[in-house]
Amino acid sequence: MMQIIRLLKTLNSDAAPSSIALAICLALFIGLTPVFSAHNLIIVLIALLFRIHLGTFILASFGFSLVGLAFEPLLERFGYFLLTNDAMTSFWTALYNTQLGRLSLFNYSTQLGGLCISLVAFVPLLLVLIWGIKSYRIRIKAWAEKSKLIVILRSSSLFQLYEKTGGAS
Amino acid sequence: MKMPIRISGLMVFIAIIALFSAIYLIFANHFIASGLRTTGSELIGAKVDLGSADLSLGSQSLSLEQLAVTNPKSAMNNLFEVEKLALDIDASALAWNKVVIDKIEISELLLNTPRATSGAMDRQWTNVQEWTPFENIQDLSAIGADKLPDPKQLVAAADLQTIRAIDDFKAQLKETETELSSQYEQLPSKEIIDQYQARLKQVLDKSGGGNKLLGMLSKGKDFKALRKDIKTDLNKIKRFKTELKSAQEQLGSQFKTLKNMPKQDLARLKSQYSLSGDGVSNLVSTVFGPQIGQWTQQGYRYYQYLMPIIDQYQSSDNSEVQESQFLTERGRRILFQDNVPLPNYLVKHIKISSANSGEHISIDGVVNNLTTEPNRWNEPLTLDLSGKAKFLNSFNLSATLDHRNQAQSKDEIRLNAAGLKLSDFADLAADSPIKPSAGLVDIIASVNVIQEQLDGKVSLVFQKAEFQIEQPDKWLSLIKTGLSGLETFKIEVHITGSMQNPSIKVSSPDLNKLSQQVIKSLMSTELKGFEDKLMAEIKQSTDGPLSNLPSMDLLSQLQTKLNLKELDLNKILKKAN
Repeated sequence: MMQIIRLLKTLNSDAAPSSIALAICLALFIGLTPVFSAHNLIIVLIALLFRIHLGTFILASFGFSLVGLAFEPLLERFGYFLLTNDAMTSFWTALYNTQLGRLSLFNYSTQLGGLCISLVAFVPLLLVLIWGIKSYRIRIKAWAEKSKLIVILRSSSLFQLYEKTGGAS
Repeated sequence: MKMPIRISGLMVFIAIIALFSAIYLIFANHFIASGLRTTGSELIGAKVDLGSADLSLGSQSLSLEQLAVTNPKSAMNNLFEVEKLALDIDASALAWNKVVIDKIEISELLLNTPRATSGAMDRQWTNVQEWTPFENIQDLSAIGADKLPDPKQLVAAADLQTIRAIDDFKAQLKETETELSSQYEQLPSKEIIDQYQARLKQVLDKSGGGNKLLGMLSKGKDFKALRKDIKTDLNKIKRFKTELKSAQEQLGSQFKTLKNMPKQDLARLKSQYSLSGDGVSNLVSTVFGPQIGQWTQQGYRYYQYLMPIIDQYQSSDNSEVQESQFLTERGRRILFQDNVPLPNYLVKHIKISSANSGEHISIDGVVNNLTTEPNRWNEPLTLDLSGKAKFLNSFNLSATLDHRNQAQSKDEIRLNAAGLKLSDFADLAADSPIKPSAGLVDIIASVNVIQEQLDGKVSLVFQKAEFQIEQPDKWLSLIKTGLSGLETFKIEVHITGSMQNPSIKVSSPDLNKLSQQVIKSLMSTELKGFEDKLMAEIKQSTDGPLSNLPSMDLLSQLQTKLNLKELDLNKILKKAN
């Protein structure tokens, strides 16, 4: 419940759509690949260094972790397919013989599957999200604020408590 | 417009990294100790205890204290115990995900120490091929009297030499009689002798026709001719007598031999049912086989423990993409051609030193080039260890395990152990019918394993060995007594075959001699009864033919006739002189 309220708050805030979209897209990496991976360190650095909506980033990371858990067998199979694809063997071999390649642990099927899906989905998802957030703010925001669901949510004791603690900005 | 970069974010990132690093450094020793306990236990299949670990990033070293590894085959004993273990790590190799340790110094290593608590785990060794030497050991009761056959059947089936010799004798006697009778016919007959008598009378009666001188000359000439003829016949008789005598002697000798032939038949048949050389050899295996088998099996088992570690990645061809067999949270690990000239795990040098406690096995020495991928390292695994123990005066183990080229793997193992106290090895001889209770044994072993083919020779030299038997047994009692009388004796074990199907052969000229004496002594009663019955059966078969042997009367008669002829001729000759 809190997460939904928080997401709505973010969407309704003045935060730049690209900041929110980028946060969600970066969270894709955290969620779909094992957390303690070298590339996730870079993702966290990007999230902290650039003006990306951190709340959304953390929230989306949890969300995508659940997605990653549900789709782990598929990610594993996709990664395995890539690693054992004859056409790519020379590329993987070259990468395997670099220190960066070894430290990245790319040669693990789930790790590579999640990473590749995240990379492939990054740009399209970013564009879709930016367009979606903008569209939401123009077309749905005013209607949503007046909707019964939002009114009920806003009037709930939980939301009051949330606002008192400064959770909503 | 806001800056696209958040400096505070960078600070937070650095703070997070610093926090994680600090946590890791604070708890690193705990993590390492915990990891080693867990991984070690999983690898060994029994509990691995570790007192503490101390990582030093500055000197790139790791120090472990109070490491105890449970013997997976005996949960209340440690395989080994180390007071302190110092490792010098090659940090540059870690960037390649490889663990290379330049040097390990093991201080106060003790083997086979007792544990206060059980170190058993659920996981058991599954890759160790159990091998039972001497599967077909002959039961002691199977050797000896139980195998003696029924004398009646034995004689009936046997081709008795006595019967054959009787037939031969008969044939030869007949042939000799025919031959000599024929020759006798060629000798001067009674008519010839009568003619000589007549000629003598005629010469004596000759007057000479009035001329006395002419008469004397004519008589002399006739006498001479008569004497010549008689002498010629006498010579014939003499030659024949010689021949007859020779034939009589030969046949007489055969006749005497025939009388003793049943005894020879007895000896021959009895010898077929005495213990063969194989039987004696089996006896050595039966008495000492289980014991030697246990010792050999122990060595074989240790070798098998080592091999999977050494050849962990050896089965994979580095030129091909390999898939690991295990799943982790990161999924399946795929290995590609590794161009980095380092094995995944390598310990270049291990130095071991022990405290001479006198209570446990202490070891000093070095092990070099211990790696999971010998094909990726340019030196073979070598070890040179020496030590002593409460039950052992000294030992030296040296080995070169060269698996750099799996297809041409070559292992050479040499062991020289002096003064093993036999009383401490009674447990190892649990399956043996005879257990050592005192004395010493020296072991000199040389085993080569070339391309999975075993060729080993182990010499066990027992000195002043005393044995005990748990269940009274006439065989073992005699062997035990016999062994006690030997100052030293040697058993040689020859190991051959493949690693999958090894076989060992035990031999001992000393014990063979002893066994034969024991068998002879033990079987004397059984053999005596058997011998009496066998002799009776042989006699029954041979007495008839022997009592019906043809006489040599014909030859005697010929002898008499010859004597008479000779006498007559000599009489005439005497008158003719």
